[in-house]
Amino acid sequence: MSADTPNRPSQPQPELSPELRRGRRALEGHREIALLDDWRWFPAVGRWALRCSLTPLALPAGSPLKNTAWFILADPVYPWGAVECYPAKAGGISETYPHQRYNSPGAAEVPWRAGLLCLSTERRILGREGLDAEPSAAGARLLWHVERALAWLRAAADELLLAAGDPYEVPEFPGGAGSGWRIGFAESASTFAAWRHSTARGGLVDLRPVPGAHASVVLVTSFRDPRCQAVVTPAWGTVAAAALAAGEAVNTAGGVVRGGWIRLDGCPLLPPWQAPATWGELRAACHAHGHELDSLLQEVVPGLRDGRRHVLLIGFPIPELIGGSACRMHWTAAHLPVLSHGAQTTKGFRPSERGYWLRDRREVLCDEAPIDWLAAENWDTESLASRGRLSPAITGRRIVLVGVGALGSVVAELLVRGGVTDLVVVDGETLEAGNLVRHTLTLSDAGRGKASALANRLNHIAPHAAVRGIDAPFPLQHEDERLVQARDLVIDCTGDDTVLEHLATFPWAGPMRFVSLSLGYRARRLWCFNASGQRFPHAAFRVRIAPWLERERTEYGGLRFPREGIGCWHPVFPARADDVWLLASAGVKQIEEEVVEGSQGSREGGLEQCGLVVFEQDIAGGAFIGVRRLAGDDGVQ
Amino acid sequence: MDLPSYFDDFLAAISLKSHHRAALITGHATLRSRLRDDDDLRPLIVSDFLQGSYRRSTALGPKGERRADVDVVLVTRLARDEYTPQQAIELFVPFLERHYKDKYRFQNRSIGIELSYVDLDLVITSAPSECEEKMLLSESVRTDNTIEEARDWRLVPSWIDLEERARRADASTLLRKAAQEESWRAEPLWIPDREVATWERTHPLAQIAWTSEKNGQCNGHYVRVVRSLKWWWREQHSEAKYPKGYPLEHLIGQSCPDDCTSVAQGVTRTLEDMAWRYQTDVLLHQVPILPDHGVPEHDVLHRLSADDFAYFHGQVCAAAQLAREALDAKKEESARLWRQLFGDAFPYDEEDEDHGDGEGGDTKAVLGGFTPRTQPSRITGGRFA
Repeated sequence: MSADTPNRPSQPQPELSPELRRGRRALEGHREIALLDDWRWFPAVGRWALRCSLTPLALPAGSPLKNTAWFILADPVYPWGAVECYPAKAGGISETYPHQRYNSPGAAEVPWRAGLLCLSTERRILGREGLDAEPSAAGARLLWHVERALAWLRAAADELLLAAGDPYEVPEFPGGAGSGWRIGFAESASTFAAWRHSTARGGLVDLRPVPGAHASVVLVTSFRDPRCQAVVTPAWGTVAAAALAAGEAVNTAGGVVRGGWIRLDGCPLLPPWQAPATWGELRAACHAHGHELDSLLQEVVPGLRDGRRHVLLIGFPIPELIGGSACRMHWTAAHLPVLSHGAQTTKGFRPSERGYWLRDRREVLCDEAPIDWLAAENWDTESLASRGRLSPAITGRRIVLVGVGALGSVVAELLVRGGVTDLVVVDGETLEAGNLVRHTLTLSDAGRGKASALANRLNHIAPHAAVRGIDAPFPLQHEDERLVQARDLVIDCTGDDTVLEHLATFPWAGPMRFVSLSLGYRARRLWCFNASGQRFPHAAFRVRIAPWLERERTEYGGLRFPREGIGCWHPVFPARADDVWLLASAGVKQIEEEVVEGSQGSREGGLEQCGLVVFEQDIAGGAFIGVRRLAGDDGVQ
Repeated sequence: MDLPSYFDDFLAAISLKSHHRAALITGHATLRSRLRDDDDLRPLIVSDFLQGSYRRSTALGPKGERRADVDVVLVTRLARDEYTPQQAIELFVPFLERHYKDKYRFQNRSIGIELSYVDLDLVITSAPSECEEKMLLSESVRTDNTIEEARDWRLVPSWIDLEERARRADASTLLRKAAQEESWRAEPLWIPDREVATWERTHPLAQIAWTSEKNGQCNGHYVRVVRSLKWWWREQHSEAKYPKGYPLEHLIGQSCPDDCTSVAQGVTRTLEDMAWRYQTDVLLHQVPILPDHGVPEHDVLHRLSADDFAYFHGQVCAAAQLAREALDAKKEESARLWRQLFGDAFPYDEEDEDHGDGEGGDTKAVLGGFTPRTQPSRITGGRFA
């Protein structure tokens, strides 16, 4: 242990727990691990840190990774909490490797660098991991992490950290995540093809701020070459258009509307896997790909000399898997310092592009100047929806949803979050505060038309969605009518028989698929009526629903409906949010199933097909058991 | 195996805990400040300082619910030829009545004060020679820091303690000076022995200085070896009364090698040395004579009977063998044997058998760095929100 006389701590530090001692003992005697110090408490980060050196036996004596110093950090509640391995400032690795955070020198108050190793199990890194689960016992968990660090070192030395077939991961560009910016671009296979066909290497780009965001959230739209010809125009939904309207107003204030872009042939990095941190490093990294950064910049910067800071997007193609061919364009973003303009020119030069550029090269973008990286991400439909999507059979539909009360608002949101982009919502009502107990809108929407308020909300949820709201009751007039006629899936969530009659008589443009969802008393039941054909089969619906309504009357007939507060006569339909949302989810699953089966051609065309499916909450002895699905044709029994 | 982290955990378990320390500090600081503030006693007092196993960092945590104890020396101006030991002690009665009524009792050579949270042992000395006063008032003597806390302690004029260092801008200069200065040549102090009604010589500062120097030579392991072996004797051989306390510590000190690199090594070689060194005395059924530091006329082991010593030596021999086995064994076996020697306070982890010597490195490299599944995976986590 350390031979220095310690200073008495100024505040009491926590006691070293038996679990941390146990974890440390498990490392004792390991041939590849040498404990250099005991656990030390670091109040600056609120963690215990153990200094050790790792010496993988398999590495040859001369390897730079043969003997490296590390700090293993653990939470006071070990074996719970995070366990992390950081390189020591003294004797640790100083470059950045794959599967490692950017390895900057780190904070001054701690003796370790920032290059945290990514050693997690299958939840965080997909690919090669088997089902090797991280143990949770005090004696085993710390050792597991250190042994994985040893494995990481061996892989790093053999250059196996990036093995062919692993998912490709872009290196971390330092500072981006904490910048307070979120730049969303939309690159897909089709935009990649467009980039392949283009010869443009740089130009200007439009960045549209998303209105109402508290940080700078911008969408990348419209890449142009220096002659203002469009190169690639990514597709966005309505929120980008709304941002367009707002952006013009922001133009004078934030100065974020216009940015520059340059394109490289590969990710700019310094070996082994380190993103450049200064303009000099970026120049060197570009040079390695055969690019001259300065020539690329010179095409772009003349358009950015207005005394404000601009964003520079740097793009490069990436593959999906390591060793695979490139299939997507990826962008990283730098916040440029204010470029030379006005009278700021190099001594001896007139205020001209040449003078400005020389000043930029020598001072503003000199080799030592650090790059201000911003957080940029691919927000195309595929990337955003990676956590879960509805079937393409339904997301590709043009849907109209009539009635966006409690049930309709939830169904609409589930569809849009699930990937539906072309949706029209129709409702003539205004949002009241009493609706909020189970509606997805908020208090700030009170007094607004439900349809338009909901459309706005949904467009902000999915940047690729183009949801339109019509604040009028169905049926509609004029161009709204034409809009709705051309849909191919109608979902009724009104619970209103009159609307069904209108659906039956409405002049649809062609064979339609219909769904009608409605809830029973207290949202104990959901009726999901499906039909396809030229018109909505209202009569068939009435026949099928009748026995269920009779049953409801029998079960709940004597009960009083609640009133909307004292002093109000009107009864309201009782149902809690958890009941509505539960059954709405079941309804969405049913809709998806019907649409997928229908598109697979399991229904004969031409004839009017219809059926009723009923979902019912299963409650036994006051306890919620689940949701049961019943075929409605069975009637009451 | 040395198992340094196991010994760290063992020593943490057997030593004074932080709440003991806090109680001891409160206890002795309060006593010392009350003494200095007392109007009757103030003119009599030269200085006060800590002695004993707490100061020397050789104290074990108290057994069970017992209280920890600390020894305080009060150096007075009372001349030996003017006051008998009894008279000197009686001067303190009013003070004790005032502050520690019903809590104090007179022992043979000290006053024992029993508080609810700590025991204090107050030893009164007669007047030292005048040239000693400066030394006795120095920070080096009066500091609260124990030997383990302040590894650079020396009995020199420029030494300053840990708290003082934080406050002074010239701390590093003073400490550099302290490292070079020549130690004071302190003289023994005289304490009252009521049994024989005379003043007896004692030299706590010599004991402290010797321990500090020895600890430095042993890379900080000496005081840990002492605590480990005191524990062994106290817990594993609680039936024997002697040797205990300072005599046991002194025996260990005589046998502990200077160049030990770990507590495990120190313990083993100390036991082996004691086994070898005192063979002849045991054969001749006699107790060796060990002169105390600073007062060579005192035999540290004078209370020990030949039978006691013979029994002790026998246990030492058996322990030396066990310690040697433990030191030479591999990790899990070693931990088990150390535990056999020291008892349950020494950690032993059953599951360690899986990860004994870390020989799996090579096979793991072949598989791209991930542990091959040799047993069903423990599926943890898997819950989301």
